[in-house]
Amino acid sequence: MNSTPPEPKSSSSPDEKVDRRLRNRSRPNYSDRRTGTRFWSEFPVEITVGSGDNEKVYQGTARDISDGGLLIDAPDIPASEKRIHLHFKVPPGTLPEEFIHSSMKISGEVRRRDEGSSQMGVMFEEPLSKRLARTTWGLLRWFAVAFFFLAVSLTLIIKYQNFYFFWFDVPVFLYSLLVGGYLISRFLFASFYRNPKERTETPPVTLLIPAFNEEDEIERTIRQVMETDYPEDKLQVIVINDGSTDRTLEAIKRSRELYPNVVLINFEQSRGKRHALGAGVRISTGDFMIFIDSDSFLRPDAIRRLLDHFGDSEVAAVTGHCDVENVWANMLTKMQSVRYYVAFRVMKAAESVFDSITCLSGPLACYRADRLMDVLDAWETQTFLGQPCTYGDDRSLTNMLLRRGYKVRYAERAICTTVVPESHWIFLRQQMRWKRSWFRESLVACGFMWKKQPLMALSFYLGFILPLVAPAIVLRALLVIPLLNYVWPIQYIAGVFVMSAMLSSVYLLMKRSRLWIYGVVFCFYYMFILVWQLPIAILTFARTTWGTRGMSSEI
Amino acid sequence: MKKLSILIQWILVAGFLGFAIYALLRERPVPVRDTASWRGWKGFMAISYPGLDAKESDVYTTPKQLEHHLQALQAAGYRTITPEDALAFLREDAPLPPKALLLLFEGGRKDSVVYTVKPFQETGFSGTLCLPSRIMRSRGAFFLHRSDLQRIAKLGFWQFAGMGDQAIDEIPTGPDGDTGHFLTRRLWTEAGPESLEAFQERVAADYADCVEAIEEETGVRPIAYVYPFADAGHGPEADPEAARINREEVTRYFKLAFIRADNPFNGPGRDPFNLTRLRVPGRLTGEELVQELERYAPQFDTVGEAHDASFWQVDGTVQFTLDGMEVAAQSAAWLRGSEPWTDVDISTTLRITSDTAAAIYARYTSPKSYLRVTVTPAGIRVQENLQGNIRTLHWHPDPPEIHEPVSLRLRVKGSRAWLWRKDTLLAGPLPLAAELSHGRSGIGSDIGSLHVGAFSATPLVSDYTLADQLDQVPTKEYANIKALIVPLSPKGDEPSPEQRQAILSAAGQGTEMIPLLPAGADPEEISASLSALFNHPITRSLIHRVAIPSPSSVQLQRLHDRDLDVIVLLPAATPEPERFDLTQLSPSDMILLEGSEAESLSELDRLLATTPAYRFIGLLDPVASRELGISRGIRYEP
Repeated sequence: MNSTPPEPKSSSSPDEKVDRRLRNRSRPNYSDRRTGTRFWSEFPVEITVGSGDNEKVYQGTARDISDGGLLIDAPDIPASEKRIHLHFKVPPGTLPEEFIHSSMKISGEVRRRDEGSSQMGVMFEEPLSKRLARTTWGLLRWFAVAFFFLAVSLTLIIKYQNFYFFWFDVPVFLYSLLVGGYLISRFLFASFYRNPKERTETPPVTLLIPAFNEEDEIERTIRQVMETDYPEDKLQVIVINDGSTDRTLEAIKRSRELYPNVVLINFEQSRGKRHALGAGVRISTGDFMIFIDSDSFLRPDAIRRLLDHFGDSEVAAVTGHCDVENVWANMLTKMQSVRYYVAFRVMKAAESVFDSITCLSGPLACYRADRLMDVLDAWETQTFLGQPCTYGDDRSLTNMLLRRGYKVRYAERAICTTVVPESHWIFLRQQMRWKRSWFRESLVACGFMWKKQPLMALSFYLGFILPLVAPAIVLRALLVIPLLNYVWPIQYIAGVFVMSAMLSSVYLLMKRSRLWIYGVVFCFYYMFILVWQLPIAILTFARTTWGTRGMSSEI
Repeated sequence: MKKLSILIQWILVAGFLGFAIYALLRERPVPVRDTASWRGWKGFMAISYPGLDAKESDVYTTPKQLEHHLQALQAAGYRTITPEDALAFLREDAPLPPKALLLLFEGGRKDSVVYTVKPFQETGFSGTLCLPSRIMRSRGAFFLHRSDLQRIAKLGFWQFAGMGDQAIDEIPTGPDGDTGHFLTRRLWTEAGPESLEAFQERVAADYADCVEAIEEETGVRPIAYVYPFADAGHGPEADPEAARINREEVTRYFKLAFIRADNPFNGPGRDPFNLTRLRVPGRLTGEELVQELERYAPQFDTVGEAHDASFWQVDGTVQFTLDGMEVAAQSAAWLRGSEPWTDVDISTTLRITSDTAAAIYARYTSPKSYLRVTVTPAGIRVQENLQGNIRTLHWHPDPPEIHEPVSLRLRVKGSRAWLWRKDTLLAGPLPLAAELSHGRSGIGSDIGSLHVGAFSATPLVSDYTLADQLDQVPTKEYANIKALIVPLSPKGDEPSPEQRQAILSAAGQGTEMIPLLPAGADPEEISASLSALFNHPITRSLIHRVAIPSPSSVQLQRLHDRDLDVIVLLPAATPEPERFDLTQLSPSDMILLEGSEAESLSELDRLLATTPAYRFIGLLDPVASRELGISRGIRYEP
């Protein structure tokens, strides 16, 4: 058995155990790959064998765990025991977040034993997911639904009051009404999102991975790309080292030892992400180009699920769904986990209903090759106010496609995970960069979004104007009125809480994760910290020296 | 499919934008004011809210309770009026809605505005914000500021009244840290209490500052003033000059003043600077508030249960028990709804102590205008107070027994009063001054305590009776008649001795005799009739009004020249060109409409738009008369 964990790493994300049957040592087609992912673990397990007077309790240690079973290190258990009862609690971060539970008692059957060691593989009497669905998940689902409707109801009540008192403070109440309406419309439109039928075609696909100083993650990124469930002969992988100053190049070369088919483009000097991707596109052979970040990790079926959307010939590009990889690192990453999920599954899904998502996310996006070529040159050489654009690559490419009238969609089932900042300072720098690119590209998009479907156009312009005025409104509500009038901004804060509850309840419902509460925390983080970045971003968005590498692309 | 989707989206967007444009540009709801249909002359209710609070309390109303109050008031038929409407009514210039309500919100609080937006829009009500102008300069979100007032003034739902500038403050009034009300106590300075001149100057400045501040911020000069603490200087702690000074100054800057806060009803003829409101207590439901107002509305049937507090409005300390009420010294209990009563029959059983000075009141309008029966261990006295001038009408030296119940009955009818003790007439008919025309009934104790075992009061019938001949009406029936309109000297003859006796007998029973002059008589014939009537000293002293059908201006002038008040008999159904010009009448003249009920009602509907109801007599049923607030006339039938 593969029982030796790799170098200890931080517990910021479940440590997925590498499948024994790697692509280059096994069948090229991974159709028979095991369905349940195993995760490295180390936690105590109480094992009870026998019953009544014959009952005995042993202590063991779980070495890996999956939805269906457990690998236990328990030297004292007699080899003859086949049916055992287990009592354990999986530490947070060992399994995906929906598997969080308080304590688990479950029976299992010993399926195999390692003669040379004390380890035994145990299959649960029922998968953990089934057990949780019957207990915790069912409860969480009802709670989430009730919580969501309560939040919506409270929002409507607050907005009703705003309508009545409208003329007392037009700016604030108008803003409040529009924000409430905008938010509720996101959920409403997102509810119309549907996944297309799965397609069986496997056209040639080129996967491009620009890398700059990603020595820690690039190998895993390449590995997971090569491990995807897609015919090897239809998959071209191009990695572009954009003048990295760390050991990224060495890491890439190590990967190529395992996967010789990986194409490497190496820039001695950094030329920027656009040029890196452009170079890769120009030597690509695929009918479809998939851009992924060098710290993004694909799910096995991500490519297929992206391609499902291209059955419509008017679709030029599709973005996948991105979750946070290092969700368990700290409170900041947990907040981002909720934020990412809502940004994709609600916001992008709402835009996708109108075939006009406004940002093809850097972690995972797929382009029809001919459409991409149409805009590649313009994209690479884009300038703004006479200066070359060095950030906002994803948004600007999306704008170019939207301007030409192409459909741009979101693929919920094409899932990848990405590493997010764990440090507040890096996070704030990232957010500042995103806000600049958002503002610049939204200004550009204002020129053509009116041609899109009416509700999409209305949503876009509202989605552009409301954040612009948000700092003034927040300043007024949190500072001006309290200072001048000696009142606590209780009602405003309650309104933010209600809306954050609405967002968080969706996370709870869909992910069945107890991390939903961090969505509330994030909304207040936004209100007290992030919202103040926007005025600065607006004042500095024209400067080109703010481009930073080494951080996640915009979502 | 896509085209259909886009079409639906355009419809939704158009609908949303259309709604937004409509919401922004629509006419804002304005209070319901159908003044053209107003015909009410009975008076108005004034209620005030000292403030709103999220928590229930005995003093403040919650926003939800306020909403219920307004909904209940609307359902009960109340319609709000403005201070300008109240002033026009009191000046007899314009009527009010049948159930007129002046809504006051004291203190200039922002929550009064915020929480009334929705109920005002739903009910069509409007309110009056009573502003202490000093608070407009204060910081904080609790009170209204200048910018708020400018916005509120444009809304259409609000009027403004003054509540002083610093009048809501307490000032030092003594060397030991004593404090008192700004408007009614002298300020204590280092040199002692301020001088009278300084006191008057300070009070005057407060009124002036208040008016100017409100006018500057709202663009409208307020006409009403609401006294903070309901203290205009009449209280026991007020400076002796306070009432006079405040009266002088408030009349200079305002046109209405609400002095009291314990009674919502303000009837016709009330002094505009002596108005009253009811401060709404907390914990009251909407239905309870409506019931409370109904109890203060004019009553027409027997009222009063000594043990039931709901019939009474209390000044001072009065305890209600199953045995009756215990009235402490310097306290009184007033029957609610008795303000407009003219004629009344009061029965009471009371028990005094060795130091009690009890009083039964009738036709009470102020501390300086009333009729009363005082009961002390020394005896029983009937007195009338005419603007502070107390006149004893009767003194009965036989005192009641201490601690023993004594039953008294006071009957007041027309210009006469009677007093019985048990069934024995102690006094009467006692002549009453014409100035004591109406007022509330009650009972109180100036000194010592008083036990009241029973009390009831019945307003007497106030109908005008028309007869063809004087001898048609037996004198024994005079007791039930307020006034008899009958021809007395149709041919210019002097009244016969029998007629003079009848006039005397009527006067003795409190019945007014009103001679009916012949129709169509020329001025000379009228003069002759009048001469015949007034030649005799009896008729001269007892007849103050005459009735005449459709008089000409010359005829009217002749009658007015003799200082007579006139009751003009007019046919109800008169074509417009031939209608009588009411402007010829003097303010104390009355109009009796003759005709069918339908014709009378139709004509009254037209006339009540401009003429107070108390000037009309209609040949209508009692209920209709009561509703319109007019006097009722009946034709005598043997």
